[in-house]
Amino acid sequence: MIKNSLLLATIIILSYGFWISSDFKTIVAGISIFLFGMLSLQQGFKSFTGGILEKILRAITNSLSKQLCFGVVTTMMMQSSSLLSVLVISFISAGLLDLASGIGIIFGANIGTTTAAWLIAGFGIKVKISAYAMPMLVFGVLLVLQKSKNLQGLGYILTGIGFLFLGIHYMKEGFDAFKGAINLTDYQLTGLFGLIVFVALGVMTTIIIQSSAATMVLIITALASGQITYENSLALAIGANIGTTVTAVLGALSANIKGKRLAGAHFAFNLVTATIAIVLMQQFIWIVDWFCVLVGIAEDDYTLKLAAFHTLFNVVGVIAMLPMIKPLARLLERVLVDKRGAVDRANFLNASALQFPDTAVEAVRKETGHLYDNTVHLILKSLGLHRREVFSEQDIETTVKNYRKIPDYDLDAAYEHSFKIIYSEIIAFISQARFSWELKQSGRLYWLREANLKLAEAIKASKHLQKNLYKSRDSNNIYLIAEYDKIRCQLALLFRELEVIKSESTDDELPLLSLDMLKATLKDQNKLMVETVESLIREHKITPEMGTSLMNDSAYVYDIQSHLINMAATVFINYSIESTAAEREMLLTDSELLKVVTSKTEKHD
Amino acid sequence: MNKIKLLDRLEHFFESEESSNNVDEFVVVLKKLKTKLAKTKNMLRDCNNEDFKKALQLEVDVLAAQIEKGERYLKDVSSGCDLK
Repeated sequence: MIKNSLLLATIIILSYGFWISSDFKTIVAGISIFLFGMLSLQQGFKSFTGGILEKILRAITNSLSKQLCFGVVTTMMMQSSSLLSVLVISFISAGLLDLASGIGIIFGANIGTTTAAWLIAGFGIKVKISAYAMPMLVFGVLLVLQKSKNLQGLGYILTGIGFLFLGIHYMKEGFDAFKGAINLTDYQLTGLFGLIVFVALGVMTTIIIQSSAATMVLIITALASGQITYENSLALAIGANIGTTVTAVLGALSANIKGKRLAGAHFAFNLVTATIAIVLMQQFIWIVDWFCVLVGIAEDDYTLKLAAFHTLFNVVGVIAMLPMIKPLARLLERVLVDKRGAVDRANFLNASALQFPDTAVEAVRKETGHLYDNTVHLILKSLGLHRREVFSEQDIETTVKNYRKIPDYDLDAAYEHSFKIIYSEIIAFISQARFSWELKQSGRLYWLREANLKLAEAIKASKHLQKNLYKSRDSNNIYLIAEYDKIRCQLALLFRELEVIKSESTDDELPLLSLDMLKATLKDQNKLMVETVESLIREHKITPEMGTSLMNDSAYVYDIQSHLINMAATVFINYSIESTAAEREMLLTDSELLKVVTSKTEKHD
Repeated sequence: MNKIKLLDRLEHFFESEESSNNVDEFVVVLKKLKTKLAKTKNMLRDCNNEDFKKALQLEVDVLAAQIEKGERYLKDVSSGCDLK
């Protein structure tokens, strides 16, 4: 409602402005073209880099200096920190980056955004850049029309830069023409009151335009045309810095808790930086003057001096806030807490990850791992066992004997509560992630969806098993009880083996092929169980009804085990290892495994 | 050289490169499997526990079947047969 009213008010004000002044129209058109250029530039980087940013981001999680550099360079290249913020939020949500590292990158991005002011003040204002804009737009559009994704990406980048230049040109032209009609410097304000008013004006302008870079261009072109004073432009620049975080905070309102925390960190940083800049304004002006003399910038070149001021207060802000990164991250994690439980809902899926195929795949893989943990918990509970003992070094047979009394457990309710919600969120996420241009990721998502299905089928088989298990606990037949204990042991052992593979603590060089050994053992166990049951029936130690129930349950156990192993092959094995493609080809099929198990028995006999 | 011929040659070039990468990976995996098989056989020879012996025998059989499958694949690739 408020958003719609604001939009309506903006449209009315702009329309009135267009009606009374054609120069105002030129300036606003320049801002619009500039913003469109930024969107095009982001689109280009998104498709052109094709996962390069994600790969770099994965490699820099361990060092603050690398995180800062990544933030500076990426924002410098894209001339906007929005895409980077989305990427960082998606990485934090997917568990690939912690909040402190994300804050480090956002700090770097803040310095990176200040390069826009240097480029515009040093190049954009002094050179007739519309001359460069035209050929860029022509070549850019030509490339956008090509089929190749890389050429299209390059096209978007060229078009983006072309529109940025064209936008600056129109803003400059509008302010130059404006000068003849009205002189805005008549409205200049001095002193602390002027400082606060212009900071507020900078904040509001940036909230409306939704880009601090565009506000900076506006300030620089206005300053170059002599429409605002140098002092007022400095206050506007500080306001632009605060305004950009208000935009981020408003955007984060609809984001998940991780996005909110990052936006909170960004806001805190810019607020502290702005406070430092306001308090130390005179000292900063003095340092800028000294720096300009040192590097040979003319005393009256106010646009470059503004760029230097913008960079200076952001760098000082980063230096002041660097020691605060970890405490700030801890504070935000404590203050912004997710009200829902972390176990029974998706922890790694975030809509922002949908823009980055590799990150989206990794988020689904991690979430499937989370769903696997819940599945293990559910199945063990239905068997009357506990994770703590099963995953300890304790002998499994002893553990099973210690928990011979199987308590009632509502597996259906647990499925609805701890499985189905996450499962549905994963499937919904995969359905939204349609990366037709990245076949590799689409294939991985397909296999991950299958892995989730296997987990659901494993729980379904557990439900069938649970019924007969409950019947056996009330029986006095020691042979029947012993067979059901074996079943519980087999499942517990498999969970223990899979936990080793999941935690990557296995030193096996061929982890995928090792799963064949596990499958063969299970096939062997299943075969042995059927033979034992037949012999128990023959010897009248159990009734034929008990025997058929045991055989059915043995089949359910085999189903659970097979589903979990197939899931593990997709989710727990590192597919970045080159040999996995060859390993996959060499995996034995079900019939090949059966042949191995049968030939072994024949040899033994 | 016309365009179609050029494209054919390029396609052949890329496919042959991909296939040679694939063969290299197979050779590496086969080598590791053979080393593992030799180690397991040695353990089986020195083992006295019956249950453990059974498990090791099964591992030997699985490894042998995997090696056989891998070698068959390599043979087919070298004779130009498309397995996919």
